[in-house]
Amino acid sequence: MVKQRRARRPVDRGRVEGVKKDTPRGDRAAADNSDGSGSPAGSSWPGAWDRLSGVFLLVGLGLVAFQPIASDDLWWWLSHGRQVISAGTMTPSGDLLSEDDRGEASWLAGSIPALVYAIGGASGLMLIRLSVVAAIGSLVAWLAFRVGTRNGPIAAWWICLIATLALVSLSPDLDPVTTLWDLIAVGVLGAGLACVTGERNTPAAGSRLVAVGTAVLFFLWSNFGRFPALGIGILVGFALATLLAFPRHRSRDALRLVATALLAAVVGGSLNPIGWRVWIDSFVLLCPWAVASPVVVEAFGWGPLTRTDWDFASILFVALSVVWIGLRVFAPAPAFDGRLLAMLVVQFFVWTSGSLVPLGVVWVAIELIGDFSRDREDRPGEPQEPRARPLAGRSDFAKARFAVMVAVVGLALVSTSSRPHGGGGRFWEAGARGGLFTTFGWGIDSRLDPRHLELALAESNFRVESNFRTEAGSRTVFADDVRSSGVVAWILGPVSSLGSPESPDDGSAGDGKFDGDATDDGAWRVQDHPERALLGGRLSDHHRLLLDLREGRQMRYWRDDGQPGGWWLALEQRDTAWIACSRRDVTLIRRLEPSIWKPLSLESPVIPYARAGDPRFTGRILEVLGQREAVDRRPWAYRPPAVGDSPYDRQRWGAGPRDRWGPLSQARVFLAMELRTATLRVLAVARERWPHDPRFLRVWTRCQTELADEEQLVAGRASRFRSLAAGLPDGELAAGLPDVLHELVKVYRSEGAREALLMSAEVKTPDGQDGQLAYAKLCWMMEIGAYDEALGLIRKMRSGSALEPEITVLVRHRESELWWLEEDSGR
Amino acid sequence: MIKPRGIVFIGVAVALLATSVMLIDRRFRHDRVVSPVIASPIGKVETRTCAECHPGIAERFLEAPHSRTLRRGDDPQVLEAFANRSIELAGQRIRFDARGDELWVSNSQLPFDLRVDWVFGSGHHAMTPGAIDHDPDGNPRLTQFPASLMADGQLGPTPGSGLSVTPEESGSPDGGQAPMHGITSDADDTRRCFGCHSGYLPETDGRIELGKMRPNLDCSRCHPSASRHAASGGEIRPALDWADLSPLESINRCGECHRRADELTADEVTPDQTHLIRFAPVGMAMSPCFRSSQMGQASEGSGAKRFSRFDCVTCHDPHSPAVTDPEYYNDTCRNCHTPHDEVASPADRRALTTAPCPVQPVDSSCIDCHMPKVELIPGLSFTDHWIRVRESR
Repeated sequence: MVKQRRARRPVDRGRVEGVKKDTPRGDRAAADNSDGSGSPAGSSWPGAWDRLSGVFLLVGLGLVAFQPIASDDLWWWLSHGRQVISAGTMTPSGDLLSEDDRGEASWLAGSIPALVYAIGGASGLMLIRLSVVAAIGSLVAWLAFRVGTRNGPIAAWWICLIATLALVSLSPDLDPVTTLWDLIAVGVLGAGLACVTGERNTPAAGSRLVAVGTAVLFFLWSNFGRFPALGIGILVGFALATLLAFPRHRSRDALRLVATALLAAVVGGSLNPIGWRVWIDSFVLLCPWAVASPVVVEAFGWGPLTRTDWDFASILFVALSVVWIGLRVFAPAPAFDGRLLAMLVVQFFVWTSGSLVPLGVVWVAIELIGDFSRDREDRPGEPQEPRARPLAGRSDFAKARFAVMVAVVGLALVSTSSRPHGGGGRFWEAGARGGLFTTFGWGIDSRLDPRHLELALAESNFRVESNFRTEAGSRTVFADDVRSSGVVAWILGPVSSLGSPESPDDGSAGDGKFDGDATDDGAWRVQDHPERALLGGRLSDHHRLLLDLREGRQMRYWRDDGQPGGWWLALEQRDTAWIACSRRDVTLIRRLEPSIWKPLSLESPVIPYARAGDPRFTGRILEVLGQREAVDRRPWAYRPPAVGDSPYDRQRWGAGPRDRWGPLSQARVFLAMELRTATLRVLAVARERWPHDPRFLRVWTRCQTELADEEQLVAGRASRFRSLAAGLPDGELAAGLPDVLHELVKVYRSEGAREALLMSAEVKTPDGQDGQLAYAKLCWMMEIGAYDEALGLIRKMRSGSALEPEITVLVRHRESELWWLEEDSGR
Repeated sequence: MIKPRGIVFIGVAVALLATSVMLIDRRFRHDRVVSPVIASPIGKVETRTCAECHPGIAERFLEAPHSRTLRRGDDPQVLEAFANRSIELAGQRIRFDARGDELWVSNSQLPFDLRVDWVFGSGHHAMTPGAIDHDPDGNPRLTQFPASLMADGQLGPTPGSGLSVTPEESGSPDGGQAPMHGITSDADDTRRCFGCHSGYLPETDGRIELGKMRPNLDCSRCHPSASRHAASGGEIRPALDWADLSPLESINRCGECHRRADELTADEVTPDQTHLIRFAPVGMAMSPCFRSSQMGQASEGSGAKRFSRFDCVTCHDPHSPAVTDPEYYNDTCRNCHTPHDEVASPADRRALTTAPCPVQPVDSSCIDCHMPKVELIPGLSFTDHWIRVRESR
């Protein structure tokens, strides 16, 4: 095979050189078009359909660029960067976290976004995103045009398609947080390797250039990004393969080049606050399963690709990998080259840790783009002999290309969510919600809105008391996930290098302004952050505490690994003042409900919970208790958050319908807090607006099930109305009776309580259903807040004909909820 | 044209990758969630196995209240104790009836009856019946009935039920709340209840399996690594040796079921919180003599103190019924609270900081004043383990 390659090489090179040197651009295109690519000889490129494709891709890239910032770790990295800028520290995580005292390599990761945010706010962050997409788009357009002119439109089409799909799938990762730096670093490394290797992957660049370039790249990567070890892995793979694949007479040059690159990478990457230990940290982040229990690793979303929910990026990664393999399997040249081992390294890391998929997508995409960018004869998988005749006429083939492009990229756009977690999930779920089409806009996603949390804390007096160093002393915050810890760190403000936060007493820490020096009073900190816990060997402790909270294991117990569990003492030992619970963690919210931890807000994306009895929070706890009573037991109607001009309301530029996430998560939170009437009230508004969204119906049915369960506890069995609404078998009526209630519940299910109540006034109640129907009416009245009518109906029911025993009990139970009404009327 | 060499290379690479990914995936698949000891099949040991080497303890344990902390509702002794008895609480007549071999509870103000599935407590203080149903997620859920059988053989209100014999004591004319069969715990609390009253409580996907539960405490409940100890023929010491625990660790171990002081807030642990007398380790942890003992134990190496070890097992053998002779307990007090001139060595006298009683002679009954029995509700008395000088005395 080697002999064949050597023998054929001069011929190939001559052909390529001939095209490059002797043929003018137009002639080259003409020459290319004779091979069956679809463009007849003599025509110009790009044609009308290809231009149209370009316009379509431009729209697609626009959608990708104009997505509000939604990364869960946005506030964490902004706090991180703010800490570096305001306190001049090189250990921002150690300052911000009470459990962490390690140094860190990527200390600069958040500094640029924090600086930009301080200057330009959310618009500044969006400009970073926009710039990145614009830069990549321009680069790809330039490359595609160049390649299209040289190699024909199909190669250009492939380049555009691959790059666009990659960008679309990476949409959640293009926010200016540390992942972006890793993506850029991988991209630069891939492009760099493609550039320094000549035809057939022969190292072709000077070693000085390679050394400087590699050192600079890895220096920046280790100080800004988290995965420089991936780069080292790629280089090692590349080096090994290069040594093995090259002919003996060239191996010395290759070895020198590769050794230079590796040395430069290691030295450059080690220039950071923790020196060579960056490689350990980075390796741990790449392979968390190597240092922590797989169960724990998986709980934080770092499980292998085989065990994660596949989003569009995962599918694209696999699809592109298959194409890459296919190109090599069908390659005329031997496939064992440097890229194969480098690809193997990347594939290994991605398959064993699904969170690395974005990096994998970048690598495979660059590899493929590199393949299609090369001259035809050097491209793996490209036929060497011209085909006998074109596949189709130029126009038809270009049309087909356009159609395929529109279909594939369109599918990608609707299958990708701009939100990495919670809103993302499996690709078909994102598709059902319209993908990137529904979320485009400018600013910061509403789930990252810290204002409600700020408000809740501003209305408690913990900041004021922190100045006096209360004997309570508890000043740390347990956060359940990355988003919570980030938002809380942002609100708590920067911490002085001595370890104490500045304590703004006006709640202005969250406005992103660095107003004043850090002072030494108070010491409010977030306890931990999953990544830092992993690096510090605390991930299992963190996970155990989280699990105990989610499973309601309050008291001390012992586990079969000899370790104690139970959240009470663990939180005590950490001096926990409050818990920051993500709104999407409804399991935790439900478990905290009967505990000593009480919410300080009902509507914040990150709900703070303070301990009942803590004087710093008593006022706020009582206020929220009043709010709970009001939304569940008083006349109240839910209004979805209004569209405004804040940076958090700019989805669809503030002009489109509100995001359904708001009401959906509010309903889930209310349900977890056992505010079931409030849940139904939220759902009534949401279902009217989005009647076909199955998620609202699921929450509604669950709420009815819980209400039916409550009725069963009170009266021994649920009412017929409730059983029918919840879809329980008890709801079926005995045969032979006219089922009025059934029809009314159908209306209730589809159109809500108000409509059901209106309709019930028009129907004649058959014998035997009076009590059940009256009870249904009573529930509907209370659900829509018609409490006076409800009280009247209760009195009528009590004075009327004999009710079924369970209805009597249920009516009495519902009556007890109206104590305030009788009290008000008594006044 | 397909080149065989390329296919081989690619094939080897893909196979290598697939194998390594499969191996790691397998690790993920087979990794075990660490379970609570009570739910874990690892380390379980049958009492009869322990009895082979510790026959005396095993035999005594059969008589101990710990060996009968939980009984089924259809247990003949339960039927005999509860059947055909009733009590009126807050205007509600609660009645226990045997129907076949099952025990049922009716409430005069409710249209439905519930079957008693389990009865908690040994009867040393009380026995509280409960019923099991399932929440919407299918988790077992315990409803504790408001009437319990007290040690004096009479039915009385279950502590914490909020009901009392008279409506007035219950807070409002109708008993303060809409009538219910009892307080229904959520799945987590239910797990806690059974966790303390059983020796093995397996869980599947976080859901307790009452069908596979072993009611009542057994050896492995308090000696978690007893199986390894037994399997080695006694050569391997149990990982948890109670003698190695400090007094505080020891009472906290008991407190995992009988309540720990550090799992209550400061305002919950005050003498006026009368319900605390149910939680002996809490009282112990607050007692000055326990604290002195704990400090003395902690600084034992310095030789500065002469304190006996003082924790729950100083007076109580958990494998046996509680001793009923008051003098047994008084002797324990006198171990430390002896007049100084009776201590032989001058060095010991200097080190001894425990004061003899200034009010009563040394042969009087210490526990009458410092650990009195307190009637929480009629028929239900507890010894107050918060050993202190009481203002009222």
